[in-house]
Amino acid sequence: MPNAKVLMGANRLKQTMRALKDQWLITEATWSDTVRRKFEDRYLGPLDPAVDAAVNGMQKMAEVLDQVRRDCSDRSETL
Amino acid sequence: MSSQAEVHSIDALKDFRTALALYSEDTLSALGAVEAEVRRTGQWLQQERPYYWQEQIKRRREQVASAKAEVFRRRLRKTPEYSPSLSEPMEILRRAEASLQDAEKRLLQVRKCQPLFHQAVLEYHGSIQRIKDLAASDVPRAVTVLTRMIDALEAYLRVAPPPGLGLETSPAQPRSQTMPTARATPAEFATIAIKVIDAEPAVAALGQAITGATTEVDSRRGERAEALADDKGEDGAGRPTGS
Repeated sequence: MPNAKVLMGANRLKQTMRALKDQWLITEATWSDTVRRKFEDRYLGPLDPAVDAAVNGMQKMAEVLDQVRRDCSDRSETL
Repeated sequence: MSSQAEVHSIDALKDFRTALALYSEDTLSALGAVEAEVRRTGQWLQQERPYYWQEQIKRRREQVASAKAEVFRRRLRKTPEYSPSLSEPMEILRRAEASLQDAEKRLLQVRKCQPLFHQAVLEYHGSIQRIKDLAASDVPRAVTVLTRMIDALEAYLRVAPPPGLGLETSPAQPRSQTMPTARATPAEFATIAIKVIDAEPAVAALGQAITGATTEVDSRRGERAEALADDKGEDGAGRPTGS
């Protein structure tokens, strides 16, 4: 079972991103000039792919941590 | 989409600024928690595990030796009349040997895992680097840009617009948080924006919008002042009174 703390971190990243997007939907409805577009492209656009990459990396890391713990633990330690 | 500053609610900008600050904090916190877990496992694998399994190998070798000794003792007690049972000590010996083999295998596994784990950590760091940089630098910079915009817009709201210019913001409500569309900007907004643009090319449009709008305001202020001076026979200073 992949490491729960790492998966929790990945979920937090996704939730935080979702919260920011929700707030942005409210904001962009009240801000309609070209600066808003530039702001969105410059600061918000890069976040999504970066979060996706981090979440994928965390999921892989969660599996690695689990594998390492399983391979290197003493069975009697977990009893 | 207008090329001029068109913001309908400063409150919304403030809320988003808060959301950005929280985003940065939460993201870095989540990354920190995962990093701590990775580091903990790294220490466990690099330091604790080798020591643990080496100790286990010593202990289990002693158990094997002890089990062998017991088998040997029983065999010595064997006489033509008496044959002690060997099945129990042999089973203990078999288990002790299996346990020792497992410990030796685990120590090898630890040594094999170390470089693989190191490689996985490097790949993991590669995958989070971008969001870490964004959350630590770009998002706080976005907060700064929003703060400057908010400050400039609030400063604009405190300035009384000349009447008849279509700038509907009332000086009687200088702290109004939900404002009518601000289609023009004050001089200080332009100054702030220029500084922001110097640092942030991506918001260059802000400067263009502000420069255009400020020019328009200055020109209209001039026209209005001249008209007032003609009407009242006074020397127009060109400064709106806000009344």
